[in-house]
Amino acid sequence: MNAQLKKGVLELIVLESVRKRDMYGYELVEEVSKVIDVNEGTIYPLLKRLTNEHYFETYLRESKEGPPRKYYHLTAAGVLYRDSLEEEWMELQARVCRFLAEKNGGSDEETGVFR
Amino acid sequence: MKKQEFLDELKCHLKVLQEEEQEDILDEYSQHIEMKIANGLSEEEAIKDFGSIHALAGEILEAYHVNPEYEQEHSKGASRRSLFAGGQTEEPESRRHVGAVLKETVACAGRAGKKGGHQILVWTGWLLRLLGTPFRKGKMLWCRWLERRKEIDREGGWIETEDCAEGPAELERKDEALGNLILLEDGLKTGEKTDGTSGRSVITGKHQRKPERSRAAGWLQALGGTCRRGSLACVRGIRQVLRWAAEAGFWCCRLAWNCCVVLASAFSAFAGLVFLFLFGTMAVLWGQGFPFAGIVLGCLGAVLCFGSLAVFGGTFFWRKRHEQTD
Repeated sequence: MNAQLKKGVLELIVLESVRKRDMYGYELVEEVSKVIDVNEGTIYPLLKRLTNEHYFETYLRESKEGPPRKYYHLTAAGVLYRDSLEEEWMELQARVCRFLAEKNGGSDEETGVFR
Repeated sequence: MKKQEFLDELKCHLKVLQEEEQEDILDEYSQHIEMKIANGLSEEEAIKDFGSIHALAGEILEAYHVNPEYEQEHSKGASRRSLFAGGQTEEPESRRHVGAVLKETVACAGRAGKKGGHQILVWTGWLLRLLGTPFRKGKMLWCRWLERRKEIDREGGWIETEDCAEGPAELERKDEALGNLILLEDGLKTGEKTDGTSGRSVITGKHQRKPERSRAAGWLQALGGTCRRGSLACVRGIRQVLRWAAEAGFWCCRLAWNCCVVLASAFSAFAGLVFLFLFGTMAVLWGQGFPFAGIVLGCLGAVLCFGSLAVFGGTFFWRKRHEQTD
């Protein structure tokens, strides 16, 4: 998949992953990797940026397997930001699909399931 | 590449960030590598998944709103190497920081010394005048005593007082008169006559007195005058001693108070200089991006506070009141 496309949606995927439950870094990387193939190194800078912008809160929790792990928790601002990203993504997806459908002049089968 | 090498190189790229942030990031990557190793990967494989360290560091710096290209752009033509060249600069950042701090410190010290020098001279003058007060007082009393002695010598070693106006010359005349009376009485008893050529006055009968009684009365009178003069001198001396004691006590209290004021002002000046130094240092560091705004403001407040105490400490001096004479 194109790296720029992945970069665009990576934020939304991360926010959605943490919205369900608090996660630590490695766990979050594995969760995101289920959706898109992403460089592991890029997740941590993204987490750091979202934390600096107060969309995430972090706390340490003891682990039986090693040192304490830093967990990420989605804040209220993060939830709002995630919702706005989802709306933008849905709108963008709809517009792109519509555009592709018009250009191709084809049917739904040609443009895929997006409509 | 081993884990420690990776972390060291990454830290080298992130040196523009605060130390705590660097440690936080490196801990997270270290933990991630350890988990991957625990899942069966080797160190090299775990690190390889991160990709290029330069690109990774660039993304991390972007997360902190730091332009990763800034260092590279501003280092063109300079002797030191860029941040992403992966090496140490020829002129370390810390050395430039220390140089700037020292330069600012020396400048601040020079300005403070120039301003404080005049104030120190003024204080020294006050202190010397204060310490010289008892010597001036002693000299004045000594001169007054010498003048008094000269006056006594001019008056023939006798001080006229209100209670006793009789001087030694008058007493001598009385003694001489008494002697003449004795001689006259002796002459009358022996039948001799006196005349005016002998230099002795002729005393008529109504002025005749018994010589023993007159001499005793004169001595008693002289003794009484002497006692009166002695007691008056004692009272005057005791009064003078008490006055000196009161003045000495007053002077000691004033000296103690003024010493306290001087010490407090000196301490305030010293504290002001220390906070001025801190203010300069923190201001430089603040200008370089460290979050020291609060410390800088606090230091500024302390400098103003202690500086005011040091400068206006002189107003608390206890000065001697000079009585105005018409």
